[in-house]
Amino acid sequence: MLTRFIGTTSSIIFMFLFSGQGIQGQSHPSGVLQRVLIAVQNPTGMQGGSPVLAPQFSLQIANAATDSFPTSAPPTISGYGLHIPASLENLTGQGYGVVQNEDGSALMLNYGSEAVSGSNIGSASPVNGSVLTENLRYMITASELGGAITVQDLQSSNPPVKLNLAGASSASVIPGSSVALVFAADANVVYYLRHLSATHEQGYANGQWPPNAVDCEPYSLPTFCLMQLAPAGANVATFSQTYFDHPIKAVISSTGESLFVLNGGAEADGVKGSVTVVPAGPVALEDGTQSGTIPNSLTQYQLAFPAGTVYGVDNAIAAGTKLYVAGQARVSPGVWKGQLSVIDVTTGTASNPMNIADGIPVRMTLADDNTLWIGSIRCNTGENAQAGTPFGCLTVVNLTSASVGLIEDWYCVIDSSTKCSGDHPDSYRYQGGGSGDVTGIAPITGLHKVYYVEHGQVHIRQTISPYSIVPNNGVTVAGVAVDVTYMDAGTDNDGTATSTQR
Amino acid sequence: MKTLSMTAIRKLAMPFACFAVSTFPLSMSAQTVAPHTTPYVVPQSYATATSSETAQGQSWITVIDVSGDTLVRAQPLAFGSSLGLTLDSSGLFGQSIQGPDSVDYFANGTNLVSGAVGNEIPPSNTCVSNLYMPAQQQLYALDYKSSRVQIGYPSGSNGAFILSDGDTVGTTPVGMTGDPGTNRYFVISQNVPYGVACNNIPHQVSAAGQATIFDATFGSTEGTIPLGRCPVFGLTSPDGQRSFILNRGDDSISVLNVPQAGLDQSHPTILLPQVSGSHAGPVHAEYVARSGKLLIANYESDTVSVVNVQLDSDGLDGPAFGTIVASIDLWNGNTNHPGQYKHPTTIAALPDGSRAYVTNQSDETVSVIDLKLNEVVSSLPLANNTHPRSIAVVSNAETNALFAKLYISAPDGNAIPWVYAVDNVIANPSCPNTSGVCSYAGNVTDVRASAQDYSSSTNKVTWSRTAGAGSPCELDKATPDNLLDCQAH
Repeated sequence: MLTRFIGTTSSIIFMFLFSGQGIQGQSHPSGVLQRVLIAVQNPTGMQGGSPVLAPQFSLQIANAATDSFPTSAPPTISGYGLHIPASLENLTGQGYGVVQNEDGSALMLNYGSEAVSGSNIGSASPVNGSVLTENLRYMITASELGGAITVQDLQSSNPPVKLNLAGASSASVIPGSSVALVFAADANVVYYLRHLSATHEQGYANGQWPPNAVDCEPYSLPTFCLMQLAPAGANVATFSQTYFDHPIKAVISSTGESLFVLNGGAEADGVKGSVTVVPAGPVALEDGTQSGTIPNSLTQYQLAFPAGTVYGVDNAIAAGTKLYVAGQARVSPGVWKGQLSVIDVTTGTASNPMNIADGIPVRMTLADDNTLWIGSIRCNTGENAQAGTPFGCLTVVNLTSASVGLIEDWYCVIDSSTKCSGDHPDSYRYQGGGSGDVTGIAPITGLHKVYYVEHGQVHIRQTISPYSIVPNNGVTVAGVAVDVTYMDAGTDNDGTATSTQR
Repeated sequence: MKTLSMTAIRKLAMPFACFAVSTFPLSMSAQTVAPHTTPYVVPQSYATATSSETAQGQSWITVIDVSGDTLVRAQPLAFGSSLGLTLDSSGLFGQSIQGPDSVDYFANGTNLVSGAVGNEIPPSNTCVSNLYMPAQQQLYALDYKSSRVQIGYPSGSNGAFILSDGDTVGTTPVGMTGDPGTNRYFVISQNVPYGVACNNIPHQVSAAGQATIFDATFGSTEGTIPLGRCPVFGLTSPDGQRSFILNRGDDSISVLNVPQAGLDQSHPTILLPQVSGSHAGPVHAEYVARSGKLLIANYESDTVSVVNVQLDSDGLDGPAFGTIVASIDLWNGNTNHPGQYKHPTTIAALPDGSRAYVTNQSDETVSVIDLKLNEVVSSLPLANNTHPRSIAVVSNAETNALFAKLYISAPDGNAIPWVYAVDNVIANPSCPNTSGVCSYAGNVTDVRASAQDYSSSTNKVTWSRTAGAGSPCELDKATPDNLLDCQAH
C-alpha cells in the first residue's frame, strides 16, 4: 500500500497553477473533455480455450459529462494491454497518471496523448505497491517479499536504489514531493526517506551512516538513506514503543505542517488504533530542505471508544480542522464493524465513533457538496453480514452536519434469478449476487457526482443528499473494473489509499 | 435432499504388492445450493480433481474450467484409486499415483478433449509415496520401499516421463520442497518404518526426521539436514530463500536456509504453542508472500498459527522473524464444544493476503479467516457429511483478490464444492449433475488448480503433498494398512 497524502488547499492551488493550466479543455484523441479513466481486467472475457492469462486488459475512457462512452467501443489508453491493472494514481496537475499492475510493473500515462508514456518504472516482480511523487521524479516501491524499499530517480540514469527493510509494506508521499514516510509490517517504527546532497553522499560513503539510519545505498557512495523517525540520541525502540502502535500510513494536515501517522492497532497486530502527530519539517525528503528537529515527545490523538473495546485504524483524511479517521472495532470474537471518528485537530479531541460500512475502509475521498466518500472492502463478513441484515461497502458522510448520510444497505441471495433488496436498480450489480467491495472512488468535481468501482463494476451517485444513483448503463464495462479516476480533475485529490491496502 | 450410494468395494493385488488399496461404501447426501449461472469473468484456469476407483475399477481425472465451472474433460486413469496428484508449474501437465507401483500422466490443458494420458511404470520393486513436479519437464517420485528419489526423464512432448532410480534418501520419504529457481530441493523423510505412526501417534515417535539435500541439476544428493520428529509437510518461499518443514511430532517448524543448504542459523526451529495442554499438531501450511507470513494449520489444537518469516533484501532474517504473530482459535473462543473438534487439514490464502480458508475435516466446514483481524469471520458448511482435506485457490489478481475461487475435495464425496470469495458463500453442488463441479466418476481424492496459487507467468510449485498427509487415520477406516491407505481415506 503506497499512498499520497491529501494535499493542502494551498499546495493544490500551487500545483495547479504551476502546471500552467491543467489539461482540461485540451483536445484529446478521445475528444472527451471530462474524462473518467477506468482500469479493467479481462474486458473481453476469458472462458475456455487458451492458456492462462491471455493479455487482454484495458484502461477505458468514459465521458463524465454524459455518463457514457463516446463510442460503442470505449476509447482506451493506447499502448496498454499486456498487464493486469491493479490501481491508478492520478497526477492530473502534471497531466499524467500511473497504472500499477499486478505483476509489479508500473506505467506512466500521458493524459494529453492518452497513451502510455515510456517503459516500466515499477518492479520486475510483484510488489505491495508503488507510488510516483507529484513532481514525477521519484518512483517508490515497497515489497515485503523483497524486504526492501526501492527508489528510482527518474531524472537520473542511475539504477534504482534498494534500501533494506524487512517487512517493507507501504510508503506515503505528500504533495510537493517534500516528504516520503515508509512503513513496515509488524514493526513499531516509522521510517522516512532522505535524498542525500552531494556533500552527504561523500560523508556517508562505505557505511559511515548518520544516526538513526538503517540503510544508505549504494553502499560505496549513497544517494538515499532510510531513516528511523526518532529524536537525535533517543533510543529508537523506546521512543517508537511510546508513540506508535504498528503504524500503517500517514496523511498530511490541512496546514501542511504536520503529518498524521495512523497507528493500525488491533488491525495491524498491535493493541489499539490512534493517530500520532509528526512535524513535517524535520523529515523532509530532500537533503538541505529540512527544518527543525524531531521533538522528544509527540502528540497522540486517542479515539473515543468505550474502555475495553478492541479497535484499529485503517485510513484517514484531513479537511480543514478536522481529521476523519476510519477503522474497525470488535463487536465480539470474529465480528467487527466499521467506525468513523472525527478528530478536531485544534483540540485533539475525538468524537464518539460513528457506524459506517463494515470492512476495511481503503478509500476516502472528498467530493462536491461537502461530502466525504468512504469505500470499504470485505464488508461481506462484517457485523451486518453476519447478522443477516442488509450491508454494503459504500459510505457517504455529510461534513456539514458531521453525520453519516448514506451506508449502502442491500444484499443478495446467491441466485441469479432473484433480485436483491436495497436501493440499487442496476441489474449489472446483481449478477450472481455479492456484497460490493469498493476498490475505487473518483469525485467528478463540479458535476456533483462521484464515480466508484464496486463489485467489479462502475457506478455513479449524486453528491447531493440523498446521494441517489445515477444510471450507469452507459459506462458499465465488460470484465472486472478495479479502479477509477477523474483525468480532468482540478486536483490530484482522488483518494488517500490505493486498492492495495489490506 | 438426495442420497447417492457408492459401491466401489475392491481390493487390488499389485504385482509388487506394496500394499492393498481398498475403498468402502460411502453414503452421501447432496444439498442443493444454486450455483452462479452468470459467472464473473475470472482468469483462465482449470481445477483438476482425481478420484477414487469406481465400480469398474478405474479412477478418473475431472478438469473444470474455473470460468463458468464447466466440465471440460473427464478421462479414466489406471485401475485403483488416485493416491496422489501433482501438476507442473504450467498447470498443463499432471501426474497421479495409481497404486504404489503405477504412475499415470495426463496433459491437462493443451488439448482438453484428447490430451495424452498414459502410464509410467516406476523401476521394479519400488513403491511411490509422493510425486513432485516443481517445473515443466521435471518429475520426481519418492520411493519408500528402497528409500530413494526417482528421477523422471521427459519422454516425448505429451507429458510422459521415464522414471529412473536416483540416490538414496532417509527412510520413508513423504514429500519434497525447494527452489525451482536454483534446482535445489529437500526430500523430507520421517526416518521411521513406512506406516501410520506419524499420522496416529506422532508424539510417541522417537526418531527424528531428516531432509536430504537434492541437487536436481546433477540429479544427486548432497547431504542431510536434521529435522524434528514426524515431519509431514514442507514448503518454500517463492523467492527460494527459506524452506519450512512441519514436524508434527514436535509441534515445531524446521527452518532451512535454501542458499546455504542448511538450517537457518538465526532461527533453526520455531516452536508452535500448545493450547490448553493440547499439542499443536501442524499438518499443513501456506506462505503468504505479500505479508511475509507463514500460516500453519494445527490439527490437534484446532488453531492456525500466523508466523512472521520476513527477510530483508540481503536474505537475512528480519527482526520479527519467527514471531508467532497470532494463534487463531478456529472456535473463536467458544469453549463449549465437548468432544467436538474442527481438525483442520489444509489451509489456503488469497494471494492478496487478506483471507485464509481452512478445511476442517471433522466438523465439515471451511473456516474463513480475516488475516488483518486474525480471527475467524465466517464458517461455511459443507454438505453431504463430507470431510474435506484439500483446497485449491484461483485468483483474478494479487492486489485485491476480489473474484478468487477455492475448490475443495473430500474423499467421501463426489462433489467439488467451491467458495467464491467475493460473496463469501460456499456452493455444495448436487452430484452427479452437469454443472461440472462434480467428479466425473468416483469420489474426489484431491484437487489442484492450474494456477497453483496465483495466475502469474512466474508461477512456482514449491511443495508436494498427498491429500490427508499428516492427518490421523480416523475417518472410515480405523486400521489402515499403511500410510497411503491412511491418507486415501
